[in-house]
Parts: sequence; C-alpha cells; structure tokens
Amino acid sequence: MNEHLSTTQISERLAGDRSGQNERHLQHCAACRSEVAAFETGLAALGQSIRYWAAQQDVTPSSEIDIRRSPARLSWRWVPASVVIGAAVFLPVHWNLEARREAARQEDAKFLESVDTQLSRAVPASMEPLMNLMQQGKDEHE
Amino acid sequence: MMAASMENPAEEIQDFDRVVETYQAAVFRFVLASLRDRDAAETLTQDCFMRAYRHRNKFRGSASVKTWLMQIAVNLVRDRARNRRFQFWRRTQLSAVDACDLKDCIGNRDMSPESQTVLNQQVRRIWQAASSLSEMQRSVFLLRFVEEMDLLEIADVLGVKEGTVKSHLSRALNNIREYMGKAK
Repeated sequence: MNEHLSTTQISERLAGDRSGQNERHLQHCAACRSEVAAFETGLAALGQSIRYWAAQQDVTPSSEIDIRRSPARLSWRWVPASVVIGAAVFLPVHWNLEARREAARQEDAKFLESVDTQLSRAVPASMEPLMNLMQQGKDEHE
Repeated sequence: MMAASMENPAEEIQDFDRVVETYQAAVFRFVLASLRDRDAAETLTQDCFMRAYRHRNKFRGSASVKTWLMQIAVNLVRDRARNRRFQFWRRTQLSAVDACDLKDCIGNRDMSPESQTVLNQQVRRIWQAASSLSEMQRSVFLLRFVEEMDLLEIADVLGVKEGTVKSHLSRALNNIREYMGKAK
C-alpha cells in the first residue's frame, strides 16, 4: 500500500486492464486514483478535440466522394477496346442478319412463285381431282 | 447512423451512397489524425471508399462496415507512411495543423479558465507525444481514444488478437507518459 502504481501499471489500467491488485490499490490510494483520472480526462479531451478539429477540416461534402468516378476516368482507355468489342459483336450479327434477309427474300420469291402457279391454274386446286376424273372419262370415251 | 449500423452489414454495403455518407467522417478523422495532413487525408479517404466500392461484392459482413472501412484506412495509412517515410515524419514535425489547432477545441463551460488551460496543455502534450509512437501503437491509440472502439473491434480492424491490442495500447500509453515526463 505504501508503493504507488508504476507508470506501466497505470498505463495498463488506462489500456483497460482491471486486474484485482491494481484495482484494490486504486480504491485506497487517492494519489494514484487522481493520476489515472487526470490522464483519462486528458485522453477524453484529446479525443473530443480531434473529433471537433476533424469536423472543421472535413469540408468535402459526401456527394463529392464520387465512387463512380473510376469508370469515368477509365472511359478514354476503354474507347478503343469498346470499338473493337463493338465491331466484333456487331459485324457477325450484321452479316448474319444479311444472310437471314437473303434467305427470307428467297423464301418470299418461292412463295410468290407458288402463288403465281396457283393463280395461273385454270381451275382451283380443290376441283383438280374432279377435273382429272373428267379428263380420264373423256379419254376413255374417245 | 444508428439505423445504418443496425442493418445486416452485407446488406448495408449495397447502399454505397449511404455508406459513404455514414462513415466518411470517421474514416477522414482517423486518416487525418494519423497523417496530420489535410490534403493527404482527403485523398486517402477517397481512396478508401474507392477501394471499398470496388471490393464491396467480396464483403461478407462478418465484421461491421465501419470495421471493414477502418481496415482499409489503416492499410492505406500504413502504405503511405512506408512509401513516404521521410516526408511523413518531416511533415509531422512541421505540421501546421498540430496541437495549436487542437487547443481551442475543448469547450467545457463548467470548467474554470485555469482548469481549461491545464487541460489544454495536457491535450497538447499528449498530441505531441502521440507523434512519437510507432505506426501500430498510433493506430491502436487513435482507434481507442478518438474512434472510441473497444479492444475487440480494434483487434478486428488490425487483424490481431485482443491481447495484442491491449499490449500495444499499454505500450503506447507508457511511451506517451514517458515522453510527457521528459518534456516537463
């Protein structure tokens, strides 16, 4: 009880160490208690001061921390790559579209040809069997 | 801020604008107190959020968002200090934003002018002494007494055990008290 806490013991106490022996000493020793309390007050005041000081320094509005700044900054670097990628994707699609258009044109042509064929017939297709029978009978008759 | 911190961290990180708004001040404050350089603090705060934004999909929410951001901030401060060791310390010694700016920040109206003067002097001396700390001790010291994080949170930020944090903090305080004793 005669000896006060050492600097190390006080530092340990301030760091959060609540070991029994030191706590018991602090309960009975006003000088050590006062020293710990004074330093704790100083540390709390320092924390408060730094928080206040930083709040005064921090003039950047949160909106200015633009997290999307990065892609914008990189956009020029990506321009040539985008052109190549775009061409690589667009040209095959374009060629494929052209081929499909040509095929469709051919299909259309075939379809129109068949329509012409149908329309150029003398009788409707539904009457063709009857016409065939008539033709057959006519042939037999002859 | 409370609403943000009570959310699931993995969900909280998805609303990144809100994350920036909520934690920007804490990150800036930690970096500013570590480097004592306003411009560098602004740059590193930006870098911190840029890095967090890029890696937000890797964040699993095992720690709080603040802890995760502080991990990034501590790493950025450490990298900068290592890359610019000489400039860093020279700047620290000459820093114009040193304790002289801090001394007027303590506004306790219940204190007598004499007590306030004593406290101002003590704050100034602790602040000066803190510049003599090692990088690890300084980080632990600032996270504990400025950010008011508990030892477990600090352990998460620094990726060490709680006992290691207590040991660094105790040594930091010891060094500060010794420095102040010599400076008397």
